[in-house]
Amino acid sequence: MAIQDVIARSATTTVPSSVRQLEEVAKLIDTTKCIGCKACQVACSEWNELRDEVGHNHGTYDNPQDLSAQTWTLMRFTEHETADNNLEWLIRKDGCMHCADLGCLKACPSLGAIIKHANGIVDFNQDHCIGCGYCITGCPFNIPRISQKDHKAYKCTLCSDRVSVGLEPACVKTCPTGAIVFGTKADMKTHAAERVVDLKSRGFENAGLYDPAGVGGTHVMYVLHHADDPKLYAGLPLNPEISPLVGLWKGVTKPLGLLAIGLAVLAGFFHYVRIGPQREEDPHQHGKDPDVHEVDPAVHVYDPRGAQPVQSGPEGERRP
Amino acid sequence: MARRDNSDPFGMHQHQGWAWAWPNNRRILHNRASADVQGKPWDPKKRLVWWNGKVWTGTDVPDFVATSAPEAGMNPFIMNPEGVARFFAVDKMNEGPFPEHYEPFETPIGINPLHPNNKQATSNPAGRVFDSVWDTLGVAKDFPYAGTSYRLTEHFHYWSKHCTLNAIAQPEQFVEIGEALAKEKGIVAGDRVRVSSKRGFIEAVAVVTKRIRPLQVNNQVVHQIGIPIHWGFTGTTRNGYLANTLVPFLGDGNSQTPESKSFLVNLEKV
Repeated sequence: MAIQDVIARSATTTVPSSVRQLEEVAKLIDTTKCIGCKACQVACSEWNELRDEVGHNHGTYDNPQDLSAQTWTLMRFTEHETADNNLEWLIRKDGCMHCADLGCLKACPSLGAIIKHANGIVDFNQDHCIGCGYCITGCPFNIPRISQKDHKAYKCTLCSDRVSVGLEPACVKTCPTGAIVFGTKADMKTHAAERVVDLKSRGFENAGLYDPAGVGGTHVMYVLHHADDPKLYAGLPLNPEISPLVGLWKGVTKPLGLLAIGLAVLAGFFHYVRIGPQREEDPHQHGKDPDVHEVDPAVHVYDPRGAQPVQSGPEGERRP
Repeated sequence: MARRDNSDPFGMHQHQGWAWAWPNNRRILHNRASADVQGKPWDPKKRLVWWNGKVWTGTDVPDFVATSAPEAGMNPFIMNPEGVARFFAVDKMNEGPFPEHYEPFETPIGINPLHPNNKQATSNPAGRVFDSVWDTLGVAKDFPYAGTSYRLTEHFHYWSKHCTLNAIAQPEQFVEIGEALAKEKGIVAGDRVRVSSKRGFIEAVAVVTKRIRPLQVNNQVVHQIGIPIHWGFTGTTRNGYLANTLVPFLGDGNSQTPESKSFLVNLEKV
């Protein structure tokens, strides 16, 4: 993790000054070139040393069934019949979109558990993760998953370790059709625009780039044949937005809550100054009868008649 | 990677510097036929090779003796003794010189629609069939569906099921059936089904797909069942059945390749 390039951290508004000026990067996934071979899935597991469980077939090509702490990317297959009875097999590589406006980072209560690099990559730092799962609630794409083993959140890192040393992500390197490409965000947008022109010339009138503005754009973008209806691609949201609950919680409620805590402290202080501490009255200091003789039970009493030491006590006590 | 020059000097999508083609990086076989007898291209937009007065040159590597002048009269199909193209296969195919359609030995429609009255021409008369095999062949009355076996991108034969990553990507045996057949049989995706031929059976999970549609053959509806082969024996994947249990023991008339792409099966929900 390239710590010197962090430009945002969870649970704080302080931003460490970034040493380097980095260009924003992006991964472009061209669904129109994807053949669904799952090589990206396997390459991701290889590079990141992930081994999910050998599952079951549930009547689809999708396997594993869902993202997990051990599956950071996943092909989702949809058979779509067009209006003119043409069958399209829409295959989307699902995984973290590396948004510019981060629902996960905003929702995260643990300092530095989620960080954003200057090049746009969003990373989870498991050392700081407390496993609360708020990042899942905050994510408009339902991507992070909590590990059942260490109870920490995991997701695609965009191979930040590879990118920081000038390599492309593992999925990009392995893709046999060139459906996944990686570069600066500007270059990827240019490439996507060329692809869209080509697709339109081939009859896909609604072809387009998926770079949703609702999350400030993403650093993983799609070229879609049906950009007008991304829901077709296994429920890719048309206008993804950070849940209003996250905004409410972190936007309004958090400062209000902090204000309330501050006010309570302040009120306590003034109460102390004006009225002073509350003194509890000790009942033993007043109302004590001086005539009552109290025996110290710890003292042994010697009775010469019995010639036996008698232990004092509530019942064993004898007066001479 | 080497050989990644995508330049196209003649503007006709001939990228000689991109990758390599067998043999000799020659992209179009018999390309001498693109020029007339005098060695001039028939169509300037599709010129592949031409005679420049001394030698054959062009947008492609000549599939020809490069120094043989047009006047020498050498013919373009250099791999055929007669030097010209053939419309039929002289003596190379066991079933005869002309292309012909034959039904598989296990045919879902029972006859060859091209020769409905000739029983002997239903299936390939040159096919390799041992005497003992005839009894193991089923008929459409008992096994009404066309089975076909194939491989998946996630696996390589019976090897990669021992690799964890491949096993994760495709863990359990399945068969693919079309939506129409699934509806007819009351099967939904994820149900376990039994696919049987006269030779045995397998049980697997049903994947119901739009990609397999019923065929209309000889005015009959023929449903297909797709059977990926990668399971059987043990492995890192879930245990499964050997798909080749279903396959008939037959050889193609020329290549002797087993007829594992077209055979008859029945389908039941387990």
